[in-house]
Amino acid sequence: MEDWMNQLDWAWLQWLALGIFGFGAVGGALYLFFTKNILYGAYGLLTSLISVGGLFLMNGAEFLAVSQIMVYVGGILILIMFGIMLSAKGEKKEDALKVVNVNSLVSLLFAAVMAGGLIFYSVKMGGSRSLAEPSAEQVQDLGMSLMTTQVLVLELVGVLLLIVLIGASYIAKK
Amino acid sequence: MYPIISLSVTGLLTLFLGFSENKKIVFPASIAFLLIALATAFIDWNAPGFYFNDMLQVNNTSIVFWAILIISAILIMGFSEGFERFEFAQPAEYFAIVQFSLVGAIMMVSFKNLIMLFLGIEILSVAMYVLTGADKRNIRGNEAALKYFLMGAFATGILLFGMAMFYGATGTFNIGSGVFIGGDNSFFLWIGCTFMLIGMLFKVAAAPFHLWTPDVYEGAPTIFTAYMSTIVKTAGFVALFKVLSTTFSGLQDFWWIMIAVLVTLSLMIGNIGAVSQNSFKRLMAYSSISHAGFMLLALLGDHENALGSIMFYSVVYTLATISAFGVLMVVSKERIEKGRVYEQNDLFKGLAQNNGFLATVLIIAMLSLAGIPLTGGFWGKFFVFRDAASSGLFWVIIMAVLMSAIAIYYYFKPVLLSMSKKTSLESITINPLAKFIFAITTFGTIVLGIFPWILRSLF
Amino acid sequence: MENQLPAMPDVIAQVPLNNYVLLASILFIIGIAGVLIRRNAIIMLMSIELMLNAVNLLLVAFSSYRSDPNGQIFVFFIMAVAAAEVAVGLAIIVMIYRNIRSIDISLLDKLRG
Repeated sequence: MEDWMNQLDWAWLQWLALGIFGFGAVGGALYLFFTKNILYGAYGLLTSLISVGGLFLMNGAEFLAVSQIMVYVGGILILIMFGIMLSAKGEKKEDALKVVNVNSLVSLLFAAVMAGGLIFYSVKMGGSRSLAEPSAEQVQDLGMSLMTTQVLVLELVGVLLLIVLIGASYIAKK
Repeated sequence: MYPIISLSVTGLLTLFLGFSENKKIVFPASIAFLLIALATAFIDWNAPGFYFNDMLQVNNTSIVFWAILIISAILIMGFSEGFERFEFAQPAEYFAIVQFSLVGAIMMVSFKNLIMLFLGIEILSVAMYVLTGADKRNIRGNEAALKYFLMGAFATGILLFGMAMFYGATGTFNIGSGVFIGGDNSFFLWIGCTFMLIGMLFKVAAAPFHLWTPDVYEGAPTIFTAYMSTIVKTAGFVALFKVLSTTFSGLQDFWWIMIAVLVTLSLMIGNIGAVSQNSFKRLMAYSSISHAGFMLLALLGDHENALGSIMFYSVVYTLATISAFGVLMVVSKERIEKGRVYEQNDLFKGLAQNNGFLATVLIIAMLSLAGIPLTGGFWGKFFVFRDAASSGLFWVIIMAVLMSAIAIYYYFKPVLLSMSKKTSLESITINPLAKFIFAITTFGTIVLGIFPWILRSLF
Repeated sequence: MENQLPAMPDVIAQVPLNNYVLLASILFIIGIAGVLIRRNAIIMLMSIELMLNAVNLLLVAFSSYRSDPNGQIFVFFIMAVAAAEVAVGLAIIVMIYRNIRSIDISLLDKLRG
């Protein structure tokens, strides 16, 4: 079994992964571009962001892929959703937020393909032993570099976040 | 490097001062903090070096620009005395954000690594988005904040794409060594250069990336319009110069023609657009676009002189702009029509008769902006023309001279209005601090007009 | 293609860089078009996020191509800054909404980019 897996040429796999993630990224972006409903647009952006996270993974940037999902999908997108809800306009407030389940079959199928690709990909990745150790090293490199050569930048990002904290609360306060 | 630390710490202190019972202490304390930052700037005088693993480059040139930025901030902040009367004022937050924003501006004039440039632009811009919307109940201010934010973030995206392409071509974010055309990477490099230029020209409001300028200048509270058109512009031009003269100096043939076209466009759009404006702030916005054109002109010449010319030009432009917006703030404070501050040009009608001091300040500022001899503005224009002449681009210079002639027309509109007669004048009160600032800016404009070498001989 | 990054199994490293550059450029262009054409402030904001994502993808691809961690660190900072920008942007949008709810509902549509 092992031999058989090693002998096969897996080159097609990365093309498949690139195709799936690339399609997801561009498709989500195009959906955001064409949609009339802001909320659906946010879903398009979500698809695009997750696909880009997958592409990060393909480039060996595991740490960034996780951050991408956490920061963008978990943080920024939720913020945007809040923004949509807070500023929803229309005859009634409900109109703008009403979610009608159209194309559910297509989206399910799409989700299934995405999930299948991801699972297959990660299973394959898990099989290769060379991944685990250097990956930890790479994250360590990233961390070391953040705290040594880039420490000034890190501190100044703190200043930026402080401005945002003060400024956003000041502006949005009644 | 020390002002960055100093301003970050004092910004925090200012926030804590906001908890105190007596809000009046925040204003003098902030001015004192800015003065401390100014003093710390000179610790590194004559001690050039690189800090934090080549992140920052400090030399006398950058220290001079730090001083210019901090002094401009002090002069502008001086007008916010008595700010606490206003409904929207939150003095501690506001002064803290101003101090933090200066950190960004300082990073922009002394960066050595593109990460620092990006972060500096971002700190300054985010602070400006917030300050533009500081007048929360004013719909025009809100709209200006939104527009500024969307266009600014868009420009950041373009700038970042350029930086990414630059990284792809060279493998580094350090701007130290010049890059050379050739090989497979030259395509990436061209895209990188173009997009970085576009992103930065957005920030300094050069045409054709100026579309946000008039609306944002008009909508923002006047004090922040002054801030935007002086500090952001000075820092932006130094950053532009640094990128073009170090990293992209090998690509000069490529960006040179682009800058020449942009100069022409900025001068035409700025000056012709300004002619028909009735609002004083919109007039100043178009004037700022045209001044961006003049400052870009310096980049066309050789790099030895360009930085000196940019420095001189930004100082005289800053002085005149602070005077002009300061007069507008003082005069319009009493005039509120339809729930908003009245800022049309005819606000100045009869100013000379009413308050001779303010009229003098306004007239000298306008003359300097128009580039009339014996004011600093004349020498500013003279130096950039001389720089551009060394490049041999005479059609651009002829264009620029023609446009300066048009500029005289619209700068004289407020001047003539202020000389005209008007009955029923309400009295204008100026507080002593504002008077002092007007004295400095006006005196500076005239001194630089008569003895330009005082400043020019610095470097 | 020389990819020295040890974390990369051979299988993965074979996608040529050009594909990523192409993909990132397409995403970036869709983002630009979104900002320029769409008139809704929130959709413009999302398009800007899309542009930043394209930049991130490009940087990561270049970074792994050159096996240099600096590109990845830049991406890290871009993420932080993007989060900050969105927070400020939404604060501005909320402020506008609070003001125009009772005055002029169509203000958001009137804005020109």
